[in-house]
Amino acid sequence: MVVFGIELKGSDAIVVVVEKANDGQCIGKEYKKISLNSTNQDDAQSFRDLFVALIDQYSPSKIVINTRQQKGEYAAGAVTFVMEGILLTLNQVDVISVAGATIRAKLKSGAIQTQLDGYPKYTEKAFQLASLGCL
Amino acid sequence: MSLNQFIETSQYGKEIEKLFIEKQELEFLSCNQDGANGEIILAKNKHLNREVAIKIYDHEKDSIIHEPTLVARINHENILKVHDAGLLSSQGYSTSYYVMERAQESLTSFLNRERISTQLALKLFKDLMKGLSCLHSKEFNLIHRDLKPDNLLVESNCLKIGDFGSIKRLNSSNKSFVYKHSILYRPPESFGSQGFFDKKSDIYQAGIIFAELLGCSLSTNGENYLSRRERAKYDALRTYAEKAILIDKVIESRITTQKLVDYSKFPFYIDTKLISIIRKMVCSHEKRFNSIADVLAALTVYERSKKNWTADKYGNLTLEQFKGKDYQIVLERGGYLIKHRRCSQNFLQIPNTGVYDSKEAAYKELNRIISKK
Repeated sequence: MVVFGIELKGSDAIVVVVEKANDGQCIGKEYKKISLNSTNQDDAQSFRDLFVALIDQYSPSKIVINTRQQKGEYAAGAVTFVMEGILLTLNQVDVISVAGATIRAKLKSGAIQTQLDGYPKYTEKAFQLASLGCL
Repeated sequence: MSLNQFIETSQYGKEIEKLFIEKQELEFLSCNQDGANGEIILAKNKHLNREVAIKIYDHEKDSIIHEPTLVARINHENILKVHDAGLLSSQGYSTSYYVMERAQESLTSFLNRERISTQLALKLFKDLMKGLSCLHSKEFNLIHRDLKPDNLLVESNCLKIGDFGSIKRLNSSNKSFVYKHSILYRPPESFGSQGFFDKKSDIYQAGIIFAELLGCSLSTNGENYLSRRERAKYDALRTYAEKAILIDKVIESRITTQKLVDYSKFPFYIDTKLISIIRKMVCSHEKRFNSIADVLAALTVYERSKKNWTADKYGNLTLEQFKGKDYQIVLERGGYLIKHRRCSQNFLQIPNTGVYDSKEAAYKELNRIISKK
């Protein structure tokens, strides 16, 4: 089973592609930082096309993204919601949101790993999201 | 030309006659000589009241006949829709046909007809990438193996992949045997006794097409690839066959040493970031982009700072909609002037700029001005 974990942060989507092996271990296939340059139609289309190409390449079972606060002092950036909107229109695959609290609980119980060896620090959260999708 | 005249003159006369007897709903309209390797017939489906293109082609007696049938399952905006396919004869080589939707013109004639802006070139290239991504997807696992401007069709500034005679479904090794048409577009890994084609080979061919879209066209005359020494050797040869073999060898050597694309031929206003993307598409198999997603990701990075330059038929350059303004480099008063405008008004010379001797000098100055803003 292949799962995409996507952390939406600022104007970037940090993607980690993970495959669940037969022994239940999560193997990292690829990671990418994809930016939404602006919120105009051309850039939104380019962003979508890139995800469609990634989906074509790996045919994932699901995409897991991080839930972000919509209002208040710590509300997420507006561009992340545009990115989320684009991802939700991808009809080839199920897109689900997971809250930060759920990730923390799973990490505490040891159900998911913190990080993949050899992957940069910035992919940590995206990997955790992908691992959650593999459960 | 009528159907009977076409049947008499075409090398596929018998097969075409058989096709039109079997498919009573088809009405012959004309033939199209644009396609290589086979014949293209334009016809009308009387039942559906729509025009279609029929490709008749030869192939070896293997499962390739089924490949257009595989494509028929695909419903993608950048891949020509295949409505029907079948075998017409199997004496010596097999001859098959497939019926597909009709598009306006090939990319070759589109590029010959008009000069396109960098933005349109990018759009057409992305269309190619999207279609290719669908073919390469895990679901279909197909490779095209013969991507070239003749096999791509353009309709209303939208590019579609056509000609499925060479399409192959990949087996477990993810490699296919070599398809030997169009030497100019063959990737380096396809040569030699261990030659093969895989998904990265399609990326190579797409890279060559991208270079052509951006104005660096490949010469179709093989003699243009000869060096001075090779030219002397070529002139000494007597027969056409010997000459053709030499030209093929020269082109093969250019491809395997990654010297086919002459980067000095790109218009000077093409961004070096775009040229780097092309270099990484047409380099050796190991160093090339691994997937379509990697190519699109590199394009996204370029698009952060993209500039939409267009050259018109008089050689004037226009940069459209850059930070709310249009710019122009125009030949006037015996030199090149830099002009700008806002909101589609008339172009006016930018204050404190002079008359430049060359287009390149004006381009450099304009870049300096807009990078300050």
